[in-house]
Amino acid sequence: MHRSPFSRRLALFVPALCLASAAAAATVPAIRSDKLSTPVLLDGKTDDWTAIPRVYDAKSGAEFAFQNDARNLYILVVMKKPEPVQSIEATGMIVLGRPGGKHKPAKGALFLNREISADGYIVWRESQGAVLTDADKAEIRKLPRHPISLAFAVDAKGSSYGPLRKQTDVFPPDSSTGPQESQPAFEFRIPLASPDLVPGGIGGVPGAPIRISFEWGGTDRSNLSTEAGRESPNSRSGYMSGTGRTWGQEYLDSFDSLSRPRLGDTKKFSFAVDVTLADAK
Amino acid sequence: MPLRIGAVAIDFPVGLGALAGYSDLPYRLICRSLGAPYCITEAMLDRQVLLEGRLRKRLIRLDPADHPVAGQIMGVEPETMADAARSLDRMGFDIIDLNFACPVRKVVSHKRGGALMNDPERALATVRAVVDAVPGRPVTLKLRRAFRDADRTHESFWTIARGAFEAGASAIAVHARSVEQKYTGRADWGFLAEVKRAFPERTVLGSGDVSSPAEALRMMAETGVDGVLAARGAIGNPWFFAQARDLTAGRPPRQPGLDEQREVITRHYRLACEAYDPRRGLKILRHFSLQYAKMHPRRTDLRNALVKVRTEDEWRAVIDAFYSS
Repeated sequence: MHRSPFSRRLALFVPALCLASAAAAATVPAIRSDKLSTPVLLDGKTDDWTAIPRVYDAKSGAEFAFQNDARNLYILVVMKKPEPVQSIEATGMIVLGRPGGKHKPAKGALFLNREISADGYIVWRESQGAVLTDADKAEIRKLPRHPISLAFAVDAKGSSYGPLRKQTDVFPPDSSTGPQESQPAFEFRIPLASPDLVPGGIGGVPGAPIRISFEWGGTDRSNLSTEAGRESPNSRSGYMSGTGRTWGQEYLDSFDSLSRPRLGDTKKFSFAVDVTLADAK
Repeated sequence: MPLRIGAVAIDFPVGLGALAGYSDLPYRLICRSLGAPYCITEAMLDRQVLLEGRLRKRLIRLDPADHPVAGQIMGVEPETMADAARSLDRMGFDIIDLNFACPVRKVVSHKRGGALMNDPERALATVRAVVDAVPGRPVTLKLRRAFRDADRTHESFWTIARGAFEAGASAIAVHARSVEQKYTGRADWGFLAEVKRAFPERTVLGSGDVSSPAEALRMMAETGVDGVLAARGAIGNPWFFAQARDLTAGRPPRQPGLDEQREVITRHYRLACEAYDPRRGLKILRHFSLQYAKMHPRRTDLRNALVKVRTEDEWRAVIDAFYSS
């Protein structure tokens, strides 16, 4: 039977692609999440992680470690090279979970650290349930800018929802960054609950495996840009800000033009690992 | 946020609603052990309650751990309903619940359940007869917003609800769909808000589209109803109530691990074998396991394995294989 050059090339290419895919799938490392013995303090320090096994990503030079209880998954990321740190500073870190394997839809959280003005910081703290006296506010205004950590519920398709607030979103995902030393550490807390139950949750089951993927840096993620059509908390979810403005609008307003999250021009990184969650009964 | 139905105090406002084939004693006990504060039995025909026999024994089971519990009855004749209510009262049910909402064709065609939404006079005669038959025992009604989907005046609903409260009913539970709708389309939560506004001093419970604990809390926040009955949303997830409590307390909800899920499923099997017999227990748990599979990370594989199960050994093998961490 005569075969055209194209079909011959295709006949070679398809099996090669399958092999390449299989090889890529096989390279996903696996690790066990340790059962949480004492609560992890989100302070960006590695004290709570001394005996926890780590998995190393050669491309980014980052180490990842996991602990969980029945409510949350805690993740430590230690960056050992400067470039991935610049990327995470520019675009934040997306952590997605695929319970039951790679074919399941992935959902998770985007963590973003920013600095905002003192007045924006006061609004933010109060929205988180803090009761601030005039003296507290005066103290805050002594510094022109303040760091904040934000979390958004996101999925693999790029839609996002947030920023999530402690007051109404029930302990949403949270994060902390350690001192910017030679190996900065990032700690993340993500609810194991289904995203239908807790925005930002990854739907993990203690005792079962879950594929956790990390994405940061790059320029092509529309959900990293505040200019993009971000889905703000809406009446469907019942989470209205009470001010007549959506949280998304308030969020945008809380930044000035200098600190507005921007489309980064940094290198893009991604890493996936199959994590077997500890049965935390 | 406790709930009160007549003299019965309920410590948390999210309870297990009635669902035929599911809210039997074994599953109610499982839900109780995981935080359900209030449960309703499967709907019982008034005549079944009065007839001595195996069906009565199967349906009417009480356990000291299963309180407060409402016995739900449905029927056509007010006098028979009153006799059945008297019988449940003597057995120790805390609340008598009258089903005027069941949309199933064979129920409605016999003028029971949801058919009463089309016959307010008979519905109210039933309420009066039952309230008189069980003095001091709270009587509640399960209603739908209308019989016909096109009925936007909800005239029958308002007639029954007002008349029932005047007759001495302690609470109404409203499913925000019409009888014609059955379980299709969206439940009209706006109607629940309207009902609560009309009866601000009365206990109104809501149901319909409560698919998760978060939805239960959202229904209360958005409509103002005093409590929520979860039925389909809580089948296969008995942790529903503990998770709703977690959310209310501002805690991230606990996710049961595979070992805990297996423990609950096997406990459910033991309870079903005790309540019925091993053969029926296996049949019930095979059915329930498909619902429990909703929480499993490999739900499709698990379901495919469960549908092939024929014997207890096969069922145990599947459970062991899928629920080992």
